[in-house]
Amino acid sequence: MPQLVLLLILFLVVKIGYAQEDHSAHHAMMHQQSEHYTRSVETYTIPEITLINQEDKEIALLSLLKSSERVALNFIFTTCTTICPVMTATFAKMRQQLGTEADKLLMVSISIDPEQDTPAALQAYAKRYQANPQWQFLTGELEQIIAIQKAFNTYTGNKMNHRPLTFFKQPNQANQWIRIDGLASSADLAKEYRSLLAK
Amino acid sequence: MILVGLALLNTLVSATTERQSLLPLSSVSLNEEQIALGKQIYRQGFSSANHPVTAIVQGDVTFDGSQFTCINCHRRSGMGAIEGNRIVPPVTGLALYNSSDWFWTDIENLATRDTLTASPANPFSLSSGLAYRKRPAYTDNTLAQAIREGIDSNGQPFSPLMPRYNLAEQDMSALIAYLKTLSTQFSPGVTEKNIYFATVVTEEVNLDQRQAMLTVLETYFKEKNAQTRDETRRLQTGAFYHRYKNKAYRQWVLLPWLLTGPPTTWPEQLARYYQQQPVFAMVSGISTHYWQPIYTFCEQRQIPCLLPNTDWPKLPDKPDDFYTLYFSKGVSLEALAIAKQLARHSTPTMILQIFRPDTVGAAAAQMVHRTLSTAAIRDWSLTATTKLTVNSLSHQVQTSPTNIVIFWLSGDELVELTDWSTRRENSPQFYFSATLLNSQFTLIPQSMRDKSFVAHLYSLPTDLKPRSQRIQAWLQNRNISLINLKIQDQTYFASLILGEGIMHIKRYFYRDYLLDSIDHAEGMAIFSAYYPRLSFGPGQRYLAKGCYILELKNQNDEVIVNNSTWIVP
Repeated sequence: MPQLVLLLILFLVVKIGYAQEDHSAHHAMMHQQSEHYTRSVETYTIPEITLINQEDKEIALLSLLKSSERVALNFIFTTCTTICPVMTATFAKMRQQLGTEADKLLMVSISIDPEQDTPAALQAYAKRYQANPQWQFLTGELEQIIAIQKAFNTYTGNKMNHRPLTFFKQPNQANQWIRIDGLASSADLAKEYRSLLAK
Repeated sequence: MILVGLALLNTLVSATTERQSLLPLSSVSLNEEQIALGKQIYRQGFSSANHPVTAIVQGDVTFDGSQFTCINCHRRSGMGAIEGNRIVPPVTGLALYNSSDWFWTDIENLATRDTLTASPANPFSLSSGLAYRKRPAYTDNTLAQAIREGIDSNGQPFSPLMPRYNLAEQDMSALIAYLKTLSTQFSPGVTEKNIYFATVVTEEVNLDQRQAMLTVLETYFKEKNAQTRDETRRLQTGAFYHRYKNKAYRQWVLLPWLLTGPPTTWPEQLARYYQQQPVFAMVSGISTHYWQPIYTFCEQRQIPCLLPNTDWPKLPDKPDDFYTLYFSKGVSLEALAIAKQLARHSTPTMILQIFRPDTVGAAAAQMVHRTLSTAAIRDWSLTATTKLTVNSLSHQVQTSPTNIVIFWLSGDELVELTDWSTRRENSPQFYFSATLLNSQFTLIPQSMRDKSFVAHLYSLPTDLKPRSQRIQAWLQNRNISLINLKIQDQTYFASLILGEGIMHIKRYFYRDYLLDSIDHAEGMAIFSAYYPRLSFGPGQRYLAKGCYILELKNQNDEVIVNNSTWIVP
């Protein structure tokens, strides 16, 4: 009997511990959110995969990402109810704010819901956000989409748990990317992009 | 998990009356036009002038309302959502015109809230650690300010995710009027003790298939009730239960609705059943006929219809259609996949489609026409007395050049084709529907197999065995015979989805909220044996969107899958 009571106490302590941990993690997250985003430099190895763009054309991803030294990339899905519309609108606004500085900027949005996001769905989405031709919306085979998320360390296993992440390629630095974690504003993104150009 | 979630209810109809009285008086006199305009703003993002409303998000990103409609985030029910680590709070009149504490915790007029306000009163998941913003009740003025400027009734700014909408006075009033109508009353089919669900069976369905579905549903319901049977008693005891938990629990009642006679008479029969006992939702169901009458009934009555066993679904044709969630487009999906496959052919295709009139096969043939509008397609609609034979097929193929034959027929229609020789000059390729063949590829005549392709929207035959271990064990442990794996797996999955949805809505018995919640049940996809890639999402009304095209081969008198291509039409 005393063992049972001890076990119960132990269980409760562990449980409360977890609850507090969850809570503090949450507060940390909110804090981070209030500062918009965190920035880090990461090295990613992009897999050699072929995706399909909004015009139903096959796109070799590695070649696409190598085709320009100025690349901004994010992950979205078209039926997302929270962060994707904001991220997409912010992406568009960033380009607008950059004006001619964005002339050579390639923007890439990769769908993490390839079963739903057919090229036609992506085309409608691109139209909704008035995307210009230098903005590629990509979908593909489920395995490839998982592979590219893993390559950018964004894969959560469930698209409903995706995080607001934006990536900029480091010019002239093989495989190096700036990882923006959080809901950065368009001005923030433009600032990050400009700082890369300055280097 | 399901049990915990199932709790949280109990206030039922009497509480609904109480809630309504808490809405501001202005809600009583809302006029219909104003509400219709508000609905247009909420759902389509178009103002009274029929222009997209404009807004700003993230401080400086301007956009129009069609990019960021209210419904996109706050959902049809207005009950909000959670995606990742973001909470989209509810925007129903009840939620807005009461303090946040009241909405999430005081809804039963409880005196103290310590437990819940200390650990955030998040309606979706108490254990998630996601905090809910505390604020007093809104007024029309503070709400308008919130929508325009992003300042809540506590004077605190909203998350930058929430757009600040530029709405004219008239539009703002209309939007607010509409918000007050959202999820104001529990949906029908819920009483103090019970929650009612129907499952439709149409009379032509054979007994084995009915049995396959009903035993799974009945067993699931029985176990659900067994697991929650003590919750009402607990309500009388522990403080925690008293305050919160078991408010959600209801006895689940399953009503099989048998539809007889011609489908034109079904709406009347459904209405009669519904009048006898309204149901909160329909779950599973089975018919070999076109699902349209049941679909239309559910749309008209706004009743969720979750994952029926149908290969012939009525496809949504209005943007507002919402209430039926299908596994897939059925045979139509196979048609779309074949059409997409054929569209990729570099050589012109000359297609012959064979079907019987007024069947799902005929509907699939129509789908191919619509999708491949420029291709040369001939239809061969078999009359009641026509049998498909080598001679009749040869005649059709020779009448006009044909390099593709699509059989929209069941396997037993192919028995006379065993002597077909693919070695004959210019033999066409053959396409079949796995659904109509019941995935029995051996029904394809041996001599045709090396030229055969099957549209197969289910798990690959080699994957089905490992994937179906869960359902097989579930059936075995309950002494339920394996009668029809497809029906039993689909029905089991529908039951799980219902359980998941009811868990998430907790004590908020709104049908729209149930469907909004299920839209987020992405994690449940792995529980399906029959479908390799189910995908959930807001507004997605088919869970399976893709389909294999299997290339068959005859090897040592057996049929094997030589190659498979996944197509998302």
